[in-house]
Amino acid sequence: MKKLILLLAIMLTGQAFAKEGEGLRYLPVQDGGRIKPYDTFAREMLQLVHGKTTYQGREAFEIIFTWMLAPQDWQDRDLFEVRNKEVLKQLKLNDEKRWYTAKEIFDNETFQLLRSELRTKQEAKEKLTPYLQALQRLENQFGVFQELAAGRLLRVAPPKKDSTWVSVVDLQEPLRSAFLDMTKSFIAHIGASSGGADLDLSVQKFKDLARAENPSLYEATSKVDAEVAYNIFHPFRWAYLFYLVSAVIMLISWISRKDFLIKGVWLFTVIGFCLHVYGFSVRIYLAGRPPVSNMYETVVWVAFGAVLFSMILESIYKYRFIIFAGTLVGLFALVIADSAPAVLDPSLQPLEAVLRSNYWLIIHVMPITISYAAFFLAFVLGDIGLIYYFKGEEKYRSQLKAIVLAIYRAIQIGVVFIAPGIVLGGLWADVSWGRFWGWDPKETWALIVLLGYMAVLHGRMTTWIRDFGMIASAVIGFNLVIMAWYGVNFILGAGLHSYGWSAGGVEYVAVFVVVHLLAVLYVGILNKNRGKKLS
Amino acid sequence: MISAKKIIHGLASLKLAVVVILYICIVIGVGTVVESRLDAVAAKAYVYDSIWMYLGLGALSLSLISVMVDRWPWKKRHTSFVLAHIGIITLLIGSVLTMKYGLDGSMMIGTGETQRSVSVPKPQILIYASFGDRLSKVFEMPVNFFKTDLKKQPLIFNSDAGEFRFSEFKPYVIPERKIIPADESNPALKSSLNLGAGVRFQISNGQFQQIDWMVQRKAGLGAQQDFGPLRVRLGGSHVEDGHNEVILTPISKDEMSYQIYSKDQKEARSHGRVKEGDGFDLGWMGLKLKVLRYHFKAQEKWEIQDRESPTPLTVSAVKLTFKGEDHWIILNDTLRIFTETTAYFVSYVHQSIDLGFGLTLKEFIKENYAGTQKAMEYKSSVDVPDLGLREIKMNEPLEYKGLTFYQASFQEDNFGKPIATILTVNYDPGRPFKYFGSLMMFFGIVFLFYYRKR
Repeated sequence: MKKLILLLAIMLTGQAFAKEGEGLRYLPVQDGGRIKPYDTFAREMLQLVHGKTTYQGREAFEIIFTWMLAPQDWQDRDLFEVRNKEVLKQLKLNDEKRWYTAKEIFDNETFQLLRSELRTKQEAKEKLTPYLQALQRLENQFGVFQELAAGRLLRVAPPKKDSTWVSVVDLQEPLRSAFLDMTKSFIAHIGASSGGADLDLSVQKFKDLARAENPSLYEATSKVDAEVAYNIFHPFRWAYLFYLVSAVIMLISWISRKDFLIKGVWLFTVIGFCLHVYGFSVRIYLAGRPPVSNMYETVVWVAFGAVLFSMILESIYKYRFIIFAGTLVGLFALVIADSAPAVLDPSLQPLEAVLRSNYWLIIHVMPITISYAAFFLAFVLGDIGLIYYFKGEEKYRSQLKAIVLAIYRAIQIGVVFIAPGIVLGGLWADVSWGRFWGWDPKETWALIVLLGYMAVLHGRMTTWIRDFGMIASAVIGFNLVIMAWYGVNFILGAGLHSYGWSAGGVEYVAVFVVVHLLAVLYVGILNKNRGKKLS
Repeated sequence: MISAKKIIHGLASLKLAVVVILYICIVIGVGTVVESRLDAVAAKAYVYDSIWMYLGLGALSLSLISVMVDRWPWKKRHTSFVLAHIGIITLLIGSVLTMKYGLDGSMMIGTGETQRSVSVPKPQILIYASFGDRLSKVFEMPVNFFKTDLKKQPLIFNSDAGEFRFSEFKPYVIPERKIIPADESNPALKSSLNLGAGVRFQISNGQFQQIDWMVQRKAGLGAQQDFGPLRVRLGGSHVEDGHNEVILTPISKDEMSYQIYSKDQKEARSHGRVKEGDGFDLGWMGLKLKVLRYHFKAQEKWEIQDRESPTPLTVSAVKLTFKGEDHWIILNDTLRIFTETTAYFVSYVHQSIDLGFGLTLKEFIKENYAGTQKAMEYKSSVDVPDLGLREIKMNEPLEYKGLTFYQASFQEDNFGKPIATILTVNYDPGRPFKYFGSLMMFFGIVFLFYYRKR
């Protein structure tokens, strides 16, 4: 076991050390209202244009630099991601590919027509259909590539006055020559005719000159190194790998009936959790605020909450499947967060003016979203319960009792967080807008979640909800959370028109929901019939 | 015989509570769907402010009270649920007070201007009549056309001059203002409220082109359009305030005279006469002004395009029929109708409440995140009677004379420069109840845990 930990430690830290020739990553740039490392900037740009943070295995920070150096070389490469079938049809391109060349799209006469079509719709200020959203993205891809190639998008040095940084094309001497030196050593490095040390040295020279331009503004770059380390290390990926290992060990322990393995489960869960917390803390440090401002951050936060609650409940009840359910939620949520950057945007964005009060953000948004973690945990416990019911209520009576109690506790925890969270939201709205409650869909759905689970807790005290009812409620009730958390933005937000249904992965979520509802129905009927046979 | 106790016991049933909770969930869930398909106003009218919602809340209150009465005398283990239930009831009482006696409006103040009144989102129909120079209110009626179907039940006002019939409501239309020559038979031509002129003009040089309408509200009154350093005026006289100015003066059915003034000059630099279709050089940046249309007596008319759902460009409109002629009135606009003897001003407007004092906007400040157009903070510097200069910021409202003023939004001109602030003005007698209720609920939850652990 000790050897294993040592091995892991080496694997983890080895990744975080900067390699020679990668100094470029650490170059501070201004983009999207904050100072970020060039590494982050490049990843975000490549994500936007190419839909991935690497291009044919090469890293974003290299690729983006070559756009600027030799844009003409990119004309014939499959770079631009287009997935909307209708857009492709309009452009008369076949839809077998995922990526298309600049020539295929932007030299196409139709592209200009499509742009003006988009502009007309934007001026009419109507909600954009997925087709128009795809066009909008295409236009952004085009714009980003053009602006980057022209050196206007990359802002690399602080101005002498004002706050907007100077872009590559506007650089004055001596920065201009320093940047040129940097590009020369970059080319030499890429062409493998020189080592990385040269490049790192020229980057350092440029950084020193940039700092000299306006030392006080350059102070804002102090977090850049930490951010690159965070990008490279990617703690959330390690966290879910550990959760995965932990869940697998648990399964092995059940199958092989080897009880001592539970220690391994705990160990890996705790390591995963620590990494999770570490990633989280870095985000807080980088953004200077609690990380619950967009969908991606809430998914990470909910995963954190679910693992935390599962560990607390597990240490009290020692039922095994509570921690198992927690690692499953952690694994599932973090994998989703990692694999759908178009829906769950991992970039650090500046906050809307009204959200800039950290105090309110913490005491209102965090309790509501953490309650989703508890409900998520109840949901997975419900799924496990369904499996036991499927295998036969008689055989697993004691397990089912335990699961039902765990579900009840998880729902209680959720209610305890969501109720004050909603009320605090009302107080915030009252303090900020003078409106305690405004029937805004997001707050209304949070209320529906609370009421739904309140109905479950009250129903539990009647004959309506017994053990199977509790398990079914945990699974079905989570649909309310899905609606409040995801649906308000991606189903209601799209205006519920038929065309809105294909954006933001709604089809996958719908399948997820329907499969679970059918499972509850099937197991319910199965269970009822067995009951009849017995009596 | 059924005793009161039994009824209360029945109402206190947990099963009933579950049904009521689920019912409310469904109603407000439908509300969010209506809101996303239409808008918040429609959701309020159709759902949150409807009989369905009140039924749910009524049943909830009844159930909450009954269960507390039924469990009397309360024991220690009841602390949690009693506190939480009292909290919810207090919250509901607070909301009723807010709805009945509260004020929730907004006010827009332009930079340097003073505003005394608050606009409340409660629409009303107002009709003023002008007999000679006397103006008097002849009709006033609060309306909610989302709830009353005008097609079945038109709103009618009978005046001496004839029947005003409001017979159709369209919640979402894209309005287009048409300027047409007043027709010869229009009684307004003879009345004392003489119609003014209208002109559609084009200003252009090689790169720049702008086409616009100017219409005088009344003959002799000025109308103007600003293009940064240049101002075009229809009627009125030259003002020296650092603008280059062109003044067009209607003189007959076919002709206008024009004067061109340079910045800070008393005397016109050049002048002449112009007809529809003609143009003249402004002698500045190669600009030329061309008169595209000219009506000596012009009249406005709204034409509307109907939409099923709202966009940021749609407004609501109501159709007025008067003497067999149909007119569309756009929300917060006024229609003028003339008879031989009288001019009527028909408005479909939000109610406006006089505050009894005025707030003056000294400056509006918008700070962006560095290097972007994204607002980081916006605030209004406002002159308040007695208090002097105060700042109103996001999350930091101003309290004055029992009212609270919140920074809500702002308006920009075409060049992205803020020209007005929009404040939310609020008076809420239910506030103490809501705060107390929230506190009770909070303690209820704390006790839930406190007693469970034992």
